[in-house]
Amino acid sequence: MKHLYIRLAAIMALLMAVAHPSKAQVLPDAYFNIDWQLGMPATNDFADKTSGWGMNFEGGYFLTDAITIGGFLSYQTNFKSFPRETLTLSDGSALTTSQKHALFQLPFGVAGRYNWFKQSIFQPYVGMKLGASYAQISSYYYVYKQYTDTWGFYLQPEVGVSIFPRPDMRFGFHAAFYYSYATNQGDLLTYSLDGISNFGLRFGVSF
Amino acid sequence: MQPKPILYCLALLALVGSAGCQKEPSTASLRDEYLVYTAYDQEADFAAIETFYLPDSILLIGEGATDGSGNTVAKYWADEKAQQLVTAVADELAERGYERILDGALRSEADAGVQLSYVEETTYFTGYNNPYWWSYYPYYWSPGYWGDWWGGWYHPFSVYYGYTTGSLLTEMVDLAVENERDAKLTVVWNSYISGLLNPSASIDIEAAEAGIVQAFEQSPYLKNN
Repeated sequence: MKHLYIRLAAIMALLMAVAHPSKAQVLPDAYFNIDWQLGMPATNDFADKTSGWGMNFEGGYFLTDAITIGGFLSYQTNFKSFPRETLTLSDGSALTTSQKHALFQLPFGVAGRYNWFKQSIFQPYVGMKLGASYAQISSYYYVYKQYTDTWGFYLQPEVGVSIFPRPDMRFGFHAAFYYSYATNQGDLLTYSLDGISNFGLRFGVSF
Repeated sequence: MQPKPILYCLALLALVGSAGCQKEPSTASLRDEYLVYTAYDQEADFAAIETFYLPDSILLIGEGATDGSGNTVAKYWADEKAQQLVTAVADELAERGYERILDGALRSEADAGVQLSYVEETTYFTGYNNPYWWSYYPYYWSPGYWGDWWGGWYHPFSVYYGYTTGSLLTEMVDLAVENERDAKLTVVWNSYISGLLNPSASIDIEAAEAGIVQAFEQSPYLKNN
């Protein structure tokens, strides 16, 4: 976790260095978000521990003062530890071991928002992301890693707010709460994944 | 002053690249625990086995030994610790109703043979990509040890583990089938117990004995009674 904070601090510093807050927004009628992401798996038992190992990258264009359309890419890794247990595998073989599971999600696609108060300090919005979802389910045991790659459809409603201390400069902060659902399915050892849903929080910068 | 979009795009790419997407869990604690894997021939009739022969030595897979002529030969482990492990396997088989034949001259007359191997080093296997990697060790148990088998080994089931130092392998071979020229010797059950090295890099006998007990516990089909 310490390395994550260091990485985030480096990202913020880099942004501050290149963004020149005294200037106008990066591109006319566009926005960008770079967020740290905290993901809380909602329905899967494979790897259900809340994790801060995630980020979100998003950009969009203001079609009107209220409506934006753009793209996103985010990722998240969640874990779960399993004490020693015996797994009876499909071919009749059996494996006794302790495990650590990892669920890595990487959705990407189209992002749309409806925004309010574009000229104010606090600019709330509701949004929807749609796209593809790549997920890898992994089991680590002893010195081995066994994994399955999966793909699915991704849907993610979201509410959030952009905070610009000086709205005319459009360099500020961003916070959001989201729910996501992906149709990924996969099997690994004796475990099955049938859809992935998460609740999550995002905190980052907006410009 | 105009903004510099290219600079921002480059910054964004740098951020994505530096973020390092996939996080892996810490696996240090997993390496401190032994692993037990067993597999078997689902067509085998383990209830038909009445007798077995188990050598009182364990094959050491590693550098081998040197004979009087300077040739490299198989190296076996037969001290007190080895006997503990051999006895543990023999006791488990006896509990399941199998009778041990002790006379080595009669080993080919047993219904099943059981051979133990311990992986001391993996030098020979670097680069191997075969599931039955241990049978490629040049001084591995020979099918000829169990009788006049010329066709080599036959594994009717798949295995899923790689080679690691500190692993104990147990294989049960079917000696009851008709022994014909070019017939292959069928391995009907095997167990792989890994993670047996203690901090001083020697075998943890207690863990190995516990692993043997676990191997039989997770193989309930192994019984004559």
